[in-house]
Amino acid sequence: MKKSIISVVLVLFPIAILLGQQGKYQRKSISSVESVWIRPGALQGLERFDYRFFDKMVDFYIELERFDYNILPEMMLSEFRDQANSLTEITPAAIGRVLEKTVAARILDILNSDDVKKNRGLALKDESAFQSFAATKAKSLGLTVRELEMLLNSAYIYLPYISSMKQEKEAKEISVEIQGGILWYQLAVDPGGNYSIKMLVGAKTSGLGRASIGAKNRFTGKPLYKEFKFGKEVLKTTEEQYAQYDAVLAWAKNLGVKTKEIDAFKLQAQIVEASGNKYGFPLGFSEGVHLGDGFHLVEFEEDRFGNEVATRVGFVRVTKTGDNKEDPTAYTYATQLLGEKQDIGGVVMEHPRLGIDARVKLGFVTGMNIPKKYTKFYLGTMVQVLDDDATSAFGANLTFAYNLAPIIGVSQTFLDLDIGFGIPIASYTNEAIEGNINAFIISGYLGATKKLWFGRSNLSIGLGGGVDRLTMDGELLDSTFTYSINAVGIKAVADFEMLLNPDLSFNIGAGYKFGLPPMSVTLTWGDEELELPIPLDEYEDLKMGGFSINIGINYALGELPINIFGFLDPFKKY
Amino acid sequence: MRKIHGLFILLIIFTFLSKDLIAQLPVSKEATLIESVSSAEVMIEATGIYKSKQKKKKKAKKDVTEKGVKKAIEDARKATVYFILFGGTDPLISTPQERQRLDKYTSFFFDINNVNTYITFEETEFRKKVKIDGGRGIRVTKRFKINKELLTKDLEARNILEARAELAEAIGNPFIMVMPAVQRGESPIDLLRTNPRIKHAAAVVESYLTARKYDVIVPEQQAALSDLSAAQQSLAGREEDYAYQLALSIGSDVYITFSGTLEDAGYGTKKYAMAVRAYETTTARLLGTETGYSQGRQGEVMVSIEEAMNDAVDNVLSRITNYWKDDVKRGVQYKLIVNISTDFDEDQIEDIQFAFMDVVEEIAKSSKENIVTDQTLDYIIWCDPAKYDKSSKVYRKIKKAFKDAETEGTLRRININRKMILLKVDYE
Repeated sequence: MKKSIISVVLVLFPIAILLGQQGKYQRKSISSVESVWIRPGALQGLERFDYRFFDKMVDFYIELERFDYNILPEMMLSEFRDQANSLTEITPAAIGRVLEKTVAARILDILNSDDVKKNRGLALKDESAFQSFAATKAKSLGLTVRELEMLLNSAYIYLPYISSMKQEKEAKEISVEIQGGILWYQLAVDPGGNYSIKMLVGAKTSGLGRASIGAKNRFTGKPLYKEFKFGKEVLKTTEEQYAQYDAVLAWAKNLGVKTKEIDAFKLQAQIVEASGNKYGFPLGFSEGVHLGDGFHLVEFEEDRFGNEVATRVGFVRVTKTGDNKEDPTAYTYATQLLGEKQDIGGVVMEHPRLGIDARVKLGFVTGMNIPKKYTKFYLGTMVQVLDDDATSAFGANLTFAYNLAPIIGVSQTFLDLDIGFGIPIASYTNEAIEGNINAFIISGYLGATKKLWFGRSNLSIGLGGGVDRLTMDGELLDSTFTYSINAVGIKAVADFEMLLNPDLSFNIGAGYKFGLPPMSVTLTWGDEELELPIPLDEYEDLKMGGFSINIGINYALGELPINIFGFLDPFKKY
Repeated sequence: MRKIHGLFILLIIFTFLSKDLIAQLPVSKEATLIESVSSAEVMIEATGIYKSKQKKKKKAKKDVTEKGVKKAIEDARKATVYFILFGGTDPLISTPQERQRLDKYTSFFFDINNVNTYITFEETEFRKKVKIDGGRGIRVTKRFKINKELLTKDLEARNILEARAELAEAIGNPFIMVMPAVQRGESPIDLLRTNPRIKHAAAVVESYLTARKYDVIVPEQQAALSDLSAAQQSLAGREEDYAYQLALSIGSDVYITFSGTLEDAGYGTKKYAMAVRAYETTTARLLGTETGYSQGRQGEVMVSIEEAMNDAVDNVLSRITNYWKDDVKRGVQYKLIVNISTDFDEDQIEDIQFAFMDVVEEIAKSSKENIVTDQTLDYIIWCDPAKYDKSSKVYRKIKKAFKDAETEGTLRRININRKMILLKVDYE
């Protein structure tokens, strides 16, 4: 049973064999030759493509801590651009050939420089080399041929590309969609010093950004899309720029995960401490490990042909990140969530995710109170939607949960953005049915959840606050309308969650939403949006909250085309 | 009936004992010498295996998960000791007699607590850790640094190996001369003086041998050869073999020659290949030859020389030790060369030769006749160390016996050193 739940994947494991020591990540050096390669005609509807912001996002999400970055001279880059631009047919292979002609030799020079050898050479030494060094009175820590081979073959070049970037404007809504990806090349050097550029992998993804012209924050009155925040940085924008930035951030973040998913770049280490279901391994801040990061437990097994194959046998989550920038001997500790216990020598292998979970829940709410009289309103004619008072509803929620642990240092704490949809259980009036008028509750909540793990299961407790909107919409007098009664609410939820595989968990839970009296009534009729001057005490016993039970699933996302809480990413420090 | 009972009990005891002995030995016995870190320590990469004895697969897997790694590491540690004792080209236990003596102490030497005392370093991480037999077993590979010297002393303390100290007491440690190998006609001393790499290589061997308490010399004075000139005629075909001549003139028991080259190892690195040869001085018989390699490096040639030399000399040295142990049993070895004057007639020469042959028979436990010509007698003789522990004693005895033989000649010495007795017989 366990075997069927845990994804057991058999993969040939050439990397470990090449490196000599099983499950050891060796730093790679990367170079970039172009900010981004934009396919001719790819930009549509955009006034200006902001290269500076694009580079900032690529720097942040792709030039990861696990890499050393080789800076290439501008002259060489412009030579690459000239030659690449003159290609009659642009293909990954053709770009590879241009790279080989223009920048490969320079990268090799960089790798052969004393500084690089000195700085990166030590990381290539294994423990026994240091022992010999000590025993031989520190005679030599120079690079041996094996280490040089590893160093010279650990250089990679990446080229982000955009195949399409469209900006569309519909009324006041602006949307920008990017389609594109990244190409990774490897510099291969043979013992004779001959080099070539080999295409390693290509990854595609998309990003979507939106903004509304003139939109303002309902509470503060400040424009919503005039500045784009990224960490502590605040960039002044127009709505068009905001949408573009939003899309670029989502796109670059996805590419960051796809880069980490490349086998050669996956962090891996041997377990050097094992105590119960807790494991310590030599990775940490230097490699960009953060609290809450997931790692597969990998075991090597000899098949009947004598080949060594790697098998995923479990899953762990980081509970304490080792500060190996300060103390190179510091270990990262992780707790096992799936699989059988492992011993020292087992291998942990990174399972890169966005750090955002998507949670879908279906449920039933009771204890609410939507009297039928509150579904009665005048729009040229008196309309009543519900024929009964509604005290319960079926509901569905979609939550995007951003892992705050790397920012606040408290493991498994999430910032939740929750969107709910409820259908009151009550019969509709004939006029509502005839007019195709619907009544439903839409909620938007912001909250936080803390998960307390025990084995593969957890109890998650969440608190949140937001707005519930009883909405009735349909068509009257040849015009669409939306009549909404808005109320602030706070809620508390508790879920029992069980991990089915490293990404997917099943949950069942209950919650209580305390709905405050309505604060506004709005009407959108055609293109016009009005706040109706209806005395709110008229709705004093309207209650959109209540006790709820729900079941659902939680999925750790590896890709998301929209930007959610991306501005928090630079604050990750734990 | 009683006899049968007795045999049965003995059989049971034997079965248990042999089971115990087998249990102590490593399962894997797989190890590789990585490097001779110093004269006392070696770095070994060893593999350890643990196979569960549980019959049911589920139980076996659980057993492997619970204690597989620990047991496999212990097995790897034992494999390192096994390798030093029996593995490679030059194991410590090299004769059946030594093996027999060791068998009594197998449980001691392969007891994990004892094995741990030889391990001075163990890598934290594994080179490999692989489940085998569908999870019923596990195989791990790690690197260990082993104190070979301590292991050797333990073997000597239990009389499994003849203690070098005892050998030294009986006959002295072998006196070893170290020289670069040269082309015919080339002077090794000049090479030592002018080539810093050669000098460094010689210094490494010197350091290695002195750390193991061998008497070692790297001759740097051409003058050492001068005394040999008188014996030139007896060294037919070896006139230009400087190393041989030097060894003889110095009186070493064994001489080592070495030569090295830098080879391209790829990625702009060079590795050093060092060939080391050990010879018996008296006969120039090759005792052992070994080639050591350094890792490929950029620059740091001296480090590579040291690494390659350490790699090679360790094995050669164990062959020298084995030779020495064998030779000691025959007695103290001397090279005896007698130069007979041309003034004698044929009968007189024969008298002189017979007189020498008689005295050799008298003083030597065994002897080997190399050359017998009218002018030259060349013998290797093995004498009882209790009576003839010094070459001067042999000379005195020969002189006396020769006088008693009343031949026409007068015996005089040309040169005597600890290995060679070079004499001449002049006409009165």
